[in-house]
Amino acid sequence: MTSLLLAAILTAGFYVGWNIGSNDAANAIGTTIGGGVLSYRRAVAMLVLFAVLGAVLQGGKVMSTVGEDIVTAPGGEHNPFSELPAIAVATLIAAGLWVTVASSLGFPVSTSQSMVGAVMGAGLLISALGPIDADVHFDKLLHIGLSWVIAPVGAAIAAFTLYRLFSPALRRVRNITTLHRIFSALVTAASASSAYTMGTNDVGASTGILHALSNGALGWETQMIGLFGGVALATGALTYSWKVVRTVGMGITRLDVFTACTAQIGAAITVWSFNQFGIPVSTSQAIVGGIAGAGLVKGISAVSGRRLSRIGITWILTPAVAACLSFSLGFLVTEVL
Amino acid sequence: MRPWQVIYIIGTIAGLLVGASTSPYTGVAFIWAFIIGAEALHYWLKERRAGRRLEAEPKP
Repeated sequence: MTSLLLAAILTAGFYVGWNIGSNDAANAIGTTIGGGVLSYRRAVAMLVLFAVLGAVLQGGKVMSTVGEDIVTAPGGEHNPFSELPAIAVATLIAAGLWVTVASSLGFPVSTSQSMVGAVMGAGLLISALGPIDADVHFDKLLHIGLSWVIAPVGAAIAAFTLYRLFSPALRRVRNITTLHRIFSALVTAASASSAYTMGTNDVGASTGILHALSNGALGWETQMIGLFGGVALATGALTYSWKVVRTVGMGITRLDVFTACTAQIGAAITVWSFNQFGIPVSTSQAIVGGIAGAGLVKGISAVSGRRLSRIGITWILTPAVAACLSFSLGFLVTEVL
Repeated sequence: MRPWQVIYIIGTIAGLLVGASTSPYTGVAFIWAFIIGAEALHYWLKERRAGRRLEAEPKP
């Protein structure tokens, strides 16, 4: 592999990580900022700390699912992406492009979905054109696709239930200031936990292809790829996360410290559960589901249906657009250039 | 972009370089130390500025 190609792979990988930071930062810190618990600056600082930690310590699980399990060579003796690194670069760029468009519009899309869609598009291209054989595992994709439907619904139910369970007991508490402090601490802890999960889940999904190449010319250990992805994510969160943070924290429903807390915990429980099986679920979907669930406790009018339906449309579009972009870019790279 | 954003970006990229030249865990430790140190410094500066403003106010 030439050093130019290696530089292209790393640049494309960093671009995807940057996109994750700019779009998915809102999943971890949107509620904390929307609930008025932390300032934007302090929330981003906390996100950077925990996302980098999660990416290095546990990012490997999801990396291998995305990078090595969806598209394999017949017999499974080698990974098609390590044979065709130019297509790997096209896949990373395709996944990132769609997320950049969504971030600029302020929509919280799923970077996991974008990455999985792009990998599928590349797999289809490799199996259609060659020059090597590749199998696209639609059964794996079906499992991942099911989690995209279950994750937001599960998070909404979890947040709704948590709110209903704890609100009668909380109404009896007389010292409001102490209660506010306790929930501020809780939502901050839940946010930190979400940032950690983002490191394990989203960084893993975005650096899956780098992981697939790591046995070849790149020669990086899993933790180093995690650190690379984590730093890329931190850069995105630091530079371009405000638009999506505003949508998630202030655009879906009006958050207070208690609804922020239940939404964040509900989403964290949902994502953590899926991660135990190495399935790359979307933290964006989980947090939007969690916020909607917490808002629904106050009645259907408390939730912006228009905003939610627009977000839903971008979720449906994400894997399809990423797959088409990846297929087209990969075709351009291999056949035209 | 605000100064704190630029400082944090420099810190995290420095952490990546430290991680690449030593070990990923050292890189993470560097990032943690850098950001917590920067936040502590920011807090201290803010408190000092507030204290000076208070001292400058005319006393009754």
